[in-house]
Amino acid sequence: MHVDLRAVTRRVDGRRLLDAVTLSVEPGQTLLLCGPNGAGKSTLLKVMAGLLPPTGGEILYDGRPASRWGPALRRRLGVVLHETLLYDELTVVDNLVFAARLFGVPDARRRAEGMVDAAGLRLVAREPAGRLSRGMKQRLALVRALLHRPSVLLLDEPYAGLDARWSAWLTDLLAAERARGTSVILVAHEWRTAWPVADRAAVLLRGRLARLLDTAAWDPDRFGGEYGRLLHPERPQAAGPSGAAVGATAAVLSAGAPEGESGP
Amino acid sequence: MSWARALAAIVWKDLRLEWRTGEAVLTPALLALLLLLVIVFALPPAAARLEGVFTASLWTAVFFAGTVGLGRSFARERAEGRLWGLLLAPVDRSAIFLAKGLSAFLFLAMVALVTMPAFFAVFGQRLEAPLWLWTATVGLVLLAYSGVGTLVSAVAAQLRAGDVLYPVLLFPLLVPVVLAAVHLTDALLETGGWGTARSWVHLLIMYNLLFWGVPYLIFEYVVEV
Repeated sequence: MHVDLRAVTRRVDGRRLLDAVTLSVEPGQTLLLCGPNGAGKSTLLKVMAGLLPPTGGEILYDGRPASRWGPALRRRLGVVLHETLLYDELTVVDNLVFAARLFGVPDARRRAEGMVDAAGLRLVAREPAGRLSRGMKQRLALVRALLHRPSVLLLDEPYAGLDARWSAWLTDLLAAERARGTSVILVAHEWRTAWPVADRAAVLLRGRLARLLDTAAWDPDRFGGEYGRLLHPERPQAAGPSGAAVGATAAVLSAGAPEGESGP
Repeated sequence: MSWARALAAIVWKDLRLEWRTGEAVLTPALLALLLLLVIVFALPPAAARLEGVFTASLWTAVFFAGTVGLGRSFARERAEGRLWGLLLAPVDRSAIFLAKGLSAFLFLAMVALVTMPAFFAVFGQRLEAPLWLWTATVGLVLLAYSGVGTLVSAVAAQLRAGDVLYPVLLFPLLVPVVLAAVHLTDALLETGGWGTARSWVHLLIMYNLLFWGVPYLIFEYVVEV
């Protein structure tokens, strides 16, 4: 599905959370969205999912404005948010059966059981979701978003909580989705993990699109340098907290500590 | 069709959650029975036989206990972004309101089924009216309560102090329902029928149309952030 954002803006109480964001994602393409905390990445995903209304601009899916799609658009979207959307009191299977029924998936229970296996959750299938570890919950949230075979995936920090083995599983899953023609917009604070699956990378700063590039033409180290320069234009080095910032934090922490705790 | 399927899915989910937590039936039912005890201990022995005391006690307990479950209706959806999950469903969002309202009605009916016989037994009150008439009356009252209760729960879930504000927002809107419940109950106990209190039935029907119809139309805006 072709996704087209045209000058998408969202203002709340005079603050611009998104400022004229324009980009597009082709079917089968994966866009990696990076940016520091508060850059507007999650807001952008929620606006794209129709959970928050934009205050300006428009989003087109296959050339048709989102507002004209109605509920049918949501059948084509698979969404993973920072929140898991799960019911802690329901079992793993019941969470999936509920989501499948909500999306009108035929033979909901069989599909749910299949996704339990796909996410490696068979041993805890009858356990309440609240008893799962962070990583297991994340896998459950991911397969919940894939239950109805969406053609657009909007993923907010999908690698969060996953160890190396399950990060590789997710990378394979995203590659399979890409091969199926699914458009993927993926927010990742730790962008290096998601870099191998991305076709394009965008950097969002204070709600504005600061950089949009093809990953094929960039190696991760070069992008890291560029990303660092965008985040800290005053010093030409890789992304991450500056030495001065670390020093300042340490000073605040030691100043706040009770006397006598800093040494023997 | 997908609309009805989503409605059924949400009701199924609420029933499963209730089976596991007991928040919307068990806790309110226990609270109503505790209120019955408090009322019995607080009243002088002869007062329990006074006209109107049974009716007032019964509905006070049902309405107050009901807020515990109704208030949780949307508050429970606020955790872990579950409301986002419902809003992402590919159906008209009015289906979410109807499903939550229907769940609330079922839970209130279960609370009434458990607690009302206890009130009749403790107060030694006989029901002269036909059972179907009593059931229809209680059904109309609880339908109105669940409609307005679900709407206020959805509004309160958007507010920072929604849990605290919920009863404060709800009870002023409930006054017509309380009045109708009391008048119709008194009529049923005294005459075995609605008799002259029939106008309260009309009021309940109008109230139901209003508090199920309007939220159905505006629910999309109620849950919009």
